[in-house]
Amino acid sequence: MSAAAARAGWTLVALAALVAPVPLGNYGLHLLVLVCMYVALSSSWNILTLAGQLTLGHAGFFGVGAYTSALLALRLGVPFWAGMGAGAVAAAALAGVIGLVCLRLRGVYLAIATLSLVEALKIVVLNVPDVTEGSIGITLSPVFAGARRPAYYVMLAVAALPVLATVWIKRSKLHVILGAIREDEGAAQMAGINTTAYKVFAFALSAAFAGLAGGFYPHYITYIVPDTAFSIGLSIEAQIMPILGGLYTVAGPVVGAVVLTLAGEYLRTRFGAANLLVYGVVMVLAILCLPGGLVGLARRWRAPFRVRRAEQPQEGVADVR
Amino acid sequence: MRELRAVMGAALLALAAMSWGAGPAVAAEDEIRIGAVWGLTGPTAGVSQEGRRGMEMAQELINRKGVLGKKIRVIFEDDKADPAVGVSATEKLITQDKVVAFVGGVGSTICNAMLGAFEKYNPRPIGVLTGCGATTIEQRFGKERGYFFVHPWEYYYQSTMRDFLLSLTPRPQTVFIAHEDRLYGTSHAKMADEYFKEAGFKVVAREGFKSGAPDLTPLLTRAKGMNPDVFYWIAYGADAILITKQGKELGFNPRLYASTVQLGTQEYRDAVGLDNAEAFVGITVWEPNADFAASREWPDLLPSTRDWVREYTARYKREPHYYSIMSYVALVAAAKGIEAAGSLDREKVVAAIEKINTMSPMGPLKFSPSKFAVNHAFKQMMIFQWQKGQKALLFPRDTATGAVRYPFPPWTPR
Amino acid sequence: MSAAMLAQVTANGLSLAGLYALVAVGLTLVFGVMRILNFAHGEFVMIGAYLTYWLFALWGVDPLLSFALVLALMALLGALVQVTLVTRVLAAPHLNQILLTFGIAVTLQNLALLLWTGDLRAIKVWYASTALSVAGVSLSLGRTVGILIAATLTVGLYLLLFRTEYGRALRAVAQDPDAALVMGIPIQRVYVLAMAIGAAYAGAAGVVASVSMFTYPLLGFLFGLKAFCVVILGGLGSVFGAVLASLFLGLVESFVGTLIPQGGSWAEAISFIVLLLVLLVRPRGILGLE
Repeated sequence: MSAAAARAGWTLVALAALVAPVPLGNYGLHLLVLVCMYVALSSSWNILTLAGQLTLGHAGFFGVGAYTSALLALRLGVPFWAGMGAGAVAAAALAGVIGLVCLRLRGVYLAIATLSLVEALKIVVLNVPDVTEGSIGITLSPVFAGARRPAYYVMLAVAALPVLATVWIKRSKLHVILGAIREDEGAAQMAGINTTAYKVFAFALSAAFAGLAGGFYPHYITYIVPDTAFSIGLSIEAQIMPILGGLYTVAGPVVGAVVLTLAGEYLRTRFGAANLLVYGVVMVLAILCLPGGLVGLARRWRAPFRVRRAEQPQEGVADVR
Repeated sequence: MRELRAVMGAALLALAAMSWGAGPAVAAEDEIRIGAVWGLTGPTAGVSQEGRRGMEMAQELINRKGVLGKKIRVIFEDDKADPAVGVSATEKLITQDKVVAFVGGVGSTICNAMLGAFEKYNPRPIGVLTGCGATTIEQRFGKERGYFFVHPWEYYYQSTMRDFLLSLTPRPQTVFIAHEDRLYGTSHAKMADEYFKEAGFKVVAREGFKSGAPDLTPLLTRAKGMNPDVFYWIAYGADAILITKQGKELGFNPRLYASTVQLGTQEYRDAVGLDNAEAFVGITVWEPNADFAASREWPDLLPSTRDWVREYTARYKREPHYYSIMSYVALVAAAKGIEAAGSLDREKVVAAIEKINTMSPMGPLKFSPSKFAVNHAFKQMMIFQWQKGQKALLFPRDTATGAVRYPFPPWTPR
Repeated sequence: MSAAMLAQVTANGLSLAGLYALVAVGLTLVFGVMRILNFAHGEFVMIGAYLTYWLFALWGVDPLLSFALVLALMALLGALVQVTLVTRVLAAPHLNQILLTFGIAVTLQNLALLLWTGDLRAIKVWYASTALSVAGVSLSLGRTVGILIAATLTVGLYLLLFRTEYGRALRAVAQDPDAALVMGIPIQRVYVLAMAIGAAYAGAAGVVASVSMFTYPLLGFLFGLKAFCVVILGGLGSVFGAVLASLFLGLVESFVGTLIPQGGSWAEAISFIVLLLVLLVRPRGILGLE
C-alpha cells in the first residue's frame, strides 16, 4: 500500500471518528468515550514498549492525572481542561522519577515493580484524607452538564495525541534509537546513545498521555475513589489491548482498544454473570491463535501465499524480555 | 501501512457495534421494563446474587396478576463493580431499553456514578435504590423526589449502636473501632466515632485495615493490648469470619464484640460455626426472624415476615439476606406505584410511590424525609446477637425476642 | 512494649510468613524453570481451597486426610494447564505469556463464581480456630500446622531439587534450557513436572486458607499481588529467596500493623516500598538468578 493510500485511509478513519457521534444516543456516545479512553491508555503504553520497557503501572499515571485534576477542581475550582494539563504534567513528572528509579530493572522485574508502585500510590492516597479526601472520594459536577457529545470530542483529541506521537516517533530517528535500546541496551550504550535520557523521555511521554486521559475521567464520571483511579484492571487492559491489536504498530493499540472495549460491552449485555468467563476464554484463545495480534492477522490475510509468516518481519510480536 | 486494513476492519466493527448500541428499542408494548444494575461479577458478586434472587422472586409474584394488564420485565445488567461500566449499563437501560425505573443495586461508588449520569436527563429516571448507603450520596442527590432510598444511611446504624451501648449494664466505657479502609468502612467509622464520643464513651482507637487481608492478627493484637470494653468493627463478610477466628485464637476477650450487618449472614454462621459466633452482636435493618404482619392492602405480595421467609427459603434453599428483602420490597414498591398511578407517567408514578403506606415483611413501608433526603424508607434498625445458633433480637426493646448476653463469655473456658 | 507482646507479634509475623511462603514457593519454582510468571497461581490456590472445602462438605473428609489428594489433584490440574495451554507460548514473548496466564486466571475466577456462587465458605474442624498457648503466646493451631507443612514441603522440594535425578534435570533446565536439551534431558517433561509441583504448592496453600481463613472466588486475588511481591523481593526463581522474603514481609507487616496507628492500612504500602528499595540496590531481588 502506498503512502498516499495510507494517508487516505487514515484520513477516512479520522473522518469516521469525527462523524461517528452524529447518529448516536447517550449510550453509544458513552461507549465511544470509553473506547477513546482506552485508545489513549493502550497507545501510550505501547510507546513504552517501543523502548523495550515492560510496565504494569499505567493505572498509576492515569490515577495521578485523575487526582491532580479532581483536587484542583475541588480546592481551587480549576476548569477541567486546565486540570487535564496539570494531570498530564504531574503524571509525566512522576514517570520521570520512576524512569530514573527503575532504570536498572528489566523485564518482569520492572513489570512487578511498577505494579507494586501503583498499589503503594493507592494506599498513600487512601491514607492522607486531609489532602486527597481518602476513601470518601471526590465528587465533581458533570463536565458539559453531562452532555456526552462534547465529552466525546475531548476524549477523541486525547486519544489522537498518543497515536500521533507514535507516528512521529516511527518517522523520526527516535524509532531507531528506541529500537536499539529495546533490542540490546548494552550495545546501544556502547554506540554512544544516552539510554537513560531516552528511557526517561519515553516514560514521561507515555505517562503524560495517560495522565491527560486520567485528568478528564473524574469530571466525566463525576466521582472518584482511589480504587477506581488506581485500578489494577486499567493497567491490565492497557496491556492486553495493544497485544491483541499488535504491538509496536501504530494501529495495533487502536484496534485492540476498539475491539476489546466493544467486545467487553457486548459480552456484558449478552452473557450476564458469565460475561467475564467468556472474556477470559476469548483472551486465552486470542493469545494462542493470534500471536501477532489482529494487525498481524490482517497482514497474513492480505498475503497468505506470497509472503510466508516466518519470513515476514514480525513487527506485531512483542520481544520485551 | 498494511495495518490500515485492521484499522478499517475495527472501524467497521465499531460501526456495526454502534448500530447495536444506537438501535431503537424493540417495541414491546406488553411489558413494563425495570432496570437493575448489580455487580454480578467481581467483588460484590455474592451480595448481588442475593439481591437478584429477591428481585426475581418479586418479579414472578407480581406477574401472576400483572401491572396495568402488562407483565413486568426486570433487565439485569452487570456493573463489574466498576463505575464506568455502571454508567454504560445506566445509559443502555435508559436510551435503549427505555426502562420506567431503576430498582436495586449495590455499592455507593457505583450508585454515585449512576446517579451522576441521571443528572442530565429531564425528567430524571425514577430510582428505588438499595445500593446507596453513604451519606455523601444523600447530601448530593437526596433532594430529588424521584429517588427512593431503601438502604439505611450510616447515621441510622451508628445512632442505634450508640443507644444500644448506652442501654448495657454495666455500661461499657471504652470502644475500639476498627474499619475496612474504603468508602463503606471509613465513613461508618467516622460517624460511629462522633456519636460514641458525644454519648460519653471513650474511643481508644479508630483503626483502618484492608478488607480481605489474609491476616488480621496485627489489628487484633493491637486492640487486645488496649483492652477495650467494646471491640466494634465495620467491614465485610470475609473480615467478620477472620476476626472471629483470629480473635478466638488470640484469646481476645473484650466485654463485647460488635459489628454491622455482615455478621448476621448465613455464610458467616456456617463459616465460623455456632459455638464461635455465640454472643457476637450485630446491627441490621432486617432479620428473617423479625415479626411483621402482612400488608392489609397487598397481602399477596407483602405477606408477613414469617410467610415471606418461608416462601423464599422454599424457593432458594437458603436463608434470605437483607439485600434479598430490600430488593424484593423495592421492586414491589415500584410496581405498586406504577399500578396506582394508572400509567407510566413519571410524575404520577413518583407521587404514587410517595403515597404508599403499608406494612411489609421488612417492616412499615413508607417513604419519608431523612436528614438530607426527601424519600427514604426503613429507618428502624435492629440489634441482634448470636445465641445458640439463632439470632436473638435485642434492641429496640419493643421488638426484642431475647435478652442480651453480656459481658461476652471468654473464649476459654467455654 | 512488653516481652510477651513482642513474642506475640513475632509469632503472628512468622505465622503470616508461613502462609506467604507456601503461596510463593510454587510460583518462584515455575518461574525459575520456565521463566514464566504465572498470574493464575493465585487461582490455583483458590481451586485448592475449594477442593478441600467440597471434600469436607460433601463427604466429610478431614483436611488432614484430603491434603494428599488435593495436592495430587492440583498437580494434575497444573500438568493439564501446562500441556494444553502454557506449552504453546513457551517460545513467545513474556508479555504474551503473562496475558495467557492472566486469561486463565480470569476464566478460573469466573468459573468458580458460576459454579459455587460468591459465598464465603470455610471448613469447621476442631483445629480451625483453636490456639496453642506456648509461654503466654497464642499460636493458631491451623496456621501452625500450615507452617509445619510449608516447612516440610520446602525441605522436600530442596531434597527433590538437589538429591534426585528429576531435581538435577529441573535445575539444569532452569540454568540453560538449550544445553539441557543437548544433554538429552526431556525438557518438555521437565516443564510439566515444574508446573505440576507449582500447582501442588498452590493447592497446599489453598488447604491452609480454607481451614484458617475462608475461600471464595476472589481468594486468589488476595494472594496474587503479594505473592508476586514476595517472589520478586526474594529473587525470581530462588526458592530460598522466596522463603527469606516471606519471613521479612510477614514480620514487617505484623510489626507495622500492630505498633503503628493506622498500621493495618499502611502495612501493605510499606511492603511495596520495601520491595522498590530492595530492587534499587539489587535489581534481581535478594537472591535472584542473573
